[in-house]
Amino acid sequence: MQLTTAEAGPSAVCLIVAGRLDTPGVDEIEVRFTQAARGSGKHVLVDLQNVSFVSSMGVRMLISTARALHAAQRRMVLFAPQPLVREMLDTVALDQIIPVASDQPAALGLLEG
Amino acid sequence: MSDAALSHLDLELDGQHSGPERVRAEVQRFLGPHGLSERSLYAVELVLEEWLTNTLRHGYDDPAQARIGIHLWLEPDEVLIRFEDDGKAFDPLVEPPPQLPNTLADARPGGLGLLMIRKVASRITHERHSGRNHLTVGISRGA
Repeated sequence: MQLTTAEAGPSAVCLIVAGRLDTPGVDEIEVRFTQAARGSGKHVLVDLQNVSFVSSMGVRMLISTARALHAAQRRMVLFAPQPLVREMLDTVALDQIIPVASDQPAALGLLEG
Repeated sequence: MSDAALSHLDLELDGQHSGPERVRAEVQRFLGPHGLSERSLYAVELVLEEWLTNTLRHGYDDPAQARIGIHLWLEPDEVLIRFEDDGKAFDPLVEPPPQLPNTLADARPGGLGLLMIRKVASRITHERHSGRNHLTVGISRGA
């Protein structure tokens, strides 16, 4: 798993995740992901375009981080999931609690809306 | 296993020495030449990930003692995976589906693995006999 961080405007950071969000992938990345999200002091966009696989462990990581941000009055928005990943996110109705956008501009729009 | 079975793979996951990643790699190697769709391959990997993780975490007081047999075979329309383990009795078919949250405050991160398996499987059967759990999951090859 790879994780990089980029600025996404004055109020948000973008966490760019690449690889598989399965059990070993989450074990590898979760601490860095959570620290990057919580430590940014901003809203968080998560770029999923290079995530090829998500399991329940990956969903758990996203929910846990989003809850921590929510407690600090900050939001998380996911964007650009691959089609099969999107299907898995829809299976657990993740978009009911964490918005999912098609691309970064749309994700920023959801933050600002 | 029916007469129509075209090909099969037998593996054992040893909780002490080899884990789900080795199983996944072997299954990928086995399925590679068989022309499954991306959706079917994703579903196979998801079932392996979710069931093996669940069994290792909840089926044994000491995961290092786990011995899980994985039997995978191809029928014309399905990939079938049978898991056999000597862990604690567990029938996923009687587990109620999780209550999906409406808000982040309601969200509880666990319990989604079985939901995902049910979503991608074309059929699921479970038996327990001789002190072993036997779970069979079918995944459509045309998915």
